[in-house]
Amino acid sequence: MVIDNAPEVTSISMTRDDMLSERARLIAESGMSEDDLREAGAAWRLNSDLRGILDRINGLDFLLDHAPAA
Amino acid sequence: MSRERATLAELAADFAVDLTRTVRAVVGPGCPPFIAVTPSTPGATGTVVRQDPASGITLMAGDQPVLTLTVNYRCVWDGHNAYLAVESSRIAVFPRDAVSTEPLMRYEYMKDMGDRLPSAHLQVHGDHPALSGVMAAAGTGTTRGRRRGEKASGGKQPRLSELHFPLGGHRFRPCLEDILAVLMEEFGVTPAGDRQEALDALADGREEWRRNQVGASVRDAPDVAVRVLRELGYVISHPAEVEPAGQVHRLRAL
Repeated sequence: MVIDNAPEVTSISMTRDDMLSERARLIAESGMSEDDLREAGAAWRLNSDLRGILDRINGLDFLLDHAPAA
Repeated sequence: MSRERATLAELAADFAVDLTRTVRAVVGPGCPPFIAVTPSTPGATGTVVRQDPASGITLMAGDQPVLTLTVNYRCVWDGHNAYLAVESSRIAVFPRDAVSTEPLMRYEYMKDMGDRLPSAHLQVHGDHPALSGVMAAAGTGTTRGRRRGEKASGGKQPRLSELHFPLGGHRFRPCLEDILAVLMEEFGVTPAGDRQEALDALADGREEWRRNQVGASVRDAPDVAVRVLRELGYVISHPAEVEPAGQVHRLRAL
């Protein structure tokens, strides 16, 4: 993972392995199974921290869908 | 940086800078920047631009935190592989966690929403018994109406948040600057600095957004652009004998 901290923006470049590792780390950080996290998210039962984790997981899924496997 | 040579990551970074500038106009210079996340994989076609932290930004009314704003964009190349195109976006406004974990409202855009629901839409969360009653009795003429009727028969009343209020389609949807300005006016959100400077900064961002959307609209309907420019006295010559095709489906889409 390459992080470039410019004054106004942080750009992050991730490999597919980075994304998969980050995804697993986020699920572990939530303290819930992915299914439970998604179910609670759909019912708006997550606090802001957990909503943020679910949003990041969904973002990684979008990136994985748009990053061709080698 | 020439647009022809800009990479997806560079365009995403530019977009993140614009969003950071917009939000800092209200929240102040201490607001963390937006983050552009792009796969390093060759041939990647998508990028995510999101807030940091992803849990949202606190908006203040006076010295009291009142709202949490969450913003994310998922982007791809446009049809010409020249510009960033938003595939989906969500701008959501929540009360503080201690009040509720359900949003107050969500402004969303989904490029591929299908043809029955609006690609750009507003969903408002809350209770409206009269509206729920009307929705439950909306008949069986549509799939959504039928499903609502079935749920209501089972004792589950439709919710206001199930409605998707249209917001101008692919080109004329509101931008983040519009929503922040409304939060300032209607919810008393107080900018960290001078109020007029914040409104001016939001107007700058809104102008840039609308100029970009005008450009996209010209690609949708170049015949209209040519007609209007000729009415203004411009001399326009076509690049080929045929009229530019445009993208009529974008103009007709909900």
